[in-house]
Amino acid sequence: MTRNHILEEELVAYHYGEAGVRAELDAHLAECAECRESYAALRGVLAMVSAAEVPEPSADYERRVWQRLEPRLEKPRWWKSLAARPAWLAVPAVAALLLAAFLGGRLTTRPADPTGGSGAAVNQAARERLLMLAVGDHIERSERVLTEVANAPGGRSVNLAAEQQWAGELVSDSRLYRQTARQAGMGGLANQLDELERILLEVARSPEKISAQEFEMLRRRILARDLMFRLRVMRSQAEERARVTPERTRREF
Amino acid sequence: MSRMEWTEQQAVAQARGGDPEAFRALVERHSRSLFRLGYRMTGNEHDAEEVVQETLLRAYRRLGRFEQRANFGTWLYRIAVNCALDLRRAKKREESRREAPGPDPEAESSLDSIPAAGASPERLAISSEIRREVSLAMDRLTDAERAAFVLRHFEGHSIEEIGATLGLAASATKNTIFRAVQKLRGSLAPLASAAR
Repeated sequence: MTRNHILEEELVAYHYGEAGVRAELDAHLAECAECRESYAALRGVLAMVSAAEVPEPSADYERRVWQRLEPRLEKPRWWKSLAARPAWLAVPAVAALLLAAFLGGRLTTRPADPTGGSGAAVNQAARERLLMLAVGDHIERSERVLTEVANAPGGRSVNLAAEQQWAGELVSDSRLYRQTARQAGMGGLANQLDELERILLEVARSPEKISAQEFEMLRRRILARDLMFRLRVMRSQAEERARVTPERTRREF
Repeated sequence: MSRMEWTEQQAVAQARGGDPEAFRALVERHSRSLFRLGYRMTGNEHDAEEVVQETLLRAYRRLGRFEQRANFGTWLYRIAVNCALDLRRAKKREESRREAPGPDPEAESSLDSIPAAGASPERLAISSEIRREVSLAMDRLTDAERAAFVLRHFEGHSIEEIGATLGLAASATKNTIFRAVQKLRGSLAPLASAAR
């Protein structure tokens, strides 16, 4: 025997056919029963892993993937400018109007006057739903820009000019939604929007080109404290609340 | 030319030019293998579906950054691995945030469920049992170990490719794969030897 027993690490490399170990270990395995047994055990485990099948999607899987994906595809930013948003979501116009409505006292955080009839309550519900729709859309846009930043290709320096412009627009929207949410008695939502606003501001104010180290710090800041996950939760709550009664909306935000 | 007739390069070029049918061709070409990768990374169908959707969405948004000389499939896989890692991390954080009022009946320890040495080979051959045990063993791997192992074992990626995907040096990549195999052996060896 020309060598000691094969190390487990070498057996793994051998199994996956890594160059440089094959010929030497072939010779050893041919003459060493103990190593052959060890290799057989390794192969047994890996074969078991391979045998655990992945469920095969149905024959129309590709079609279903596309059906679900297509509505979510926006034209990428190099195709169209952000200015081409749907008119009804021309923020900050929506936020400004909502804020005006809330500040104007037509909508209060107090329960509707029992003698005031149902009209005020209906208006209130409609405005809160509109707020929730707009906030859901705003959070989705914020998620996108933060995801773009967090996943920007690294290098010696990183160019964030496009993301900065986008974040800058979102900051002012965020501020209006935050104020509106606070006026509507949704303190929890207002606090979360405040946190979002701060990170958007950080992106908007960073230099166009930042060093790899600065980029890594910014990226970590975005990924810290589960921000992206919480944004997803916040968005789904907003979308859900857009469909429910105003009392429940205030209670849960 | 219909979308079925495009080569990969043609479809990528067309998609970068704004043709949704070209992107659809790429989706149709890769979604099934992305699902398999997603399933192996996350261990369940629902999360695998999420990985497929998120991967394709991210790829679409970043098409402008894709260098056409590179391999589109490899690029897509890299995005998918990162999506799966993001999802796993998010779920772990969510789980750790939740209160744990008592033991989860679904989360049975694999030690409890490993059959006694005398179990019959027939029983061990039940694929659902094997799948369950493998799934538990895979869940014990760290995110990096799982990703590296899946890419090596199932996808046949080279050490260099895996290192590039995970941001690891070659030696660290090898070590990560080795640790994954070691853990799997620790979890599955009793079952594998009983089956032999």
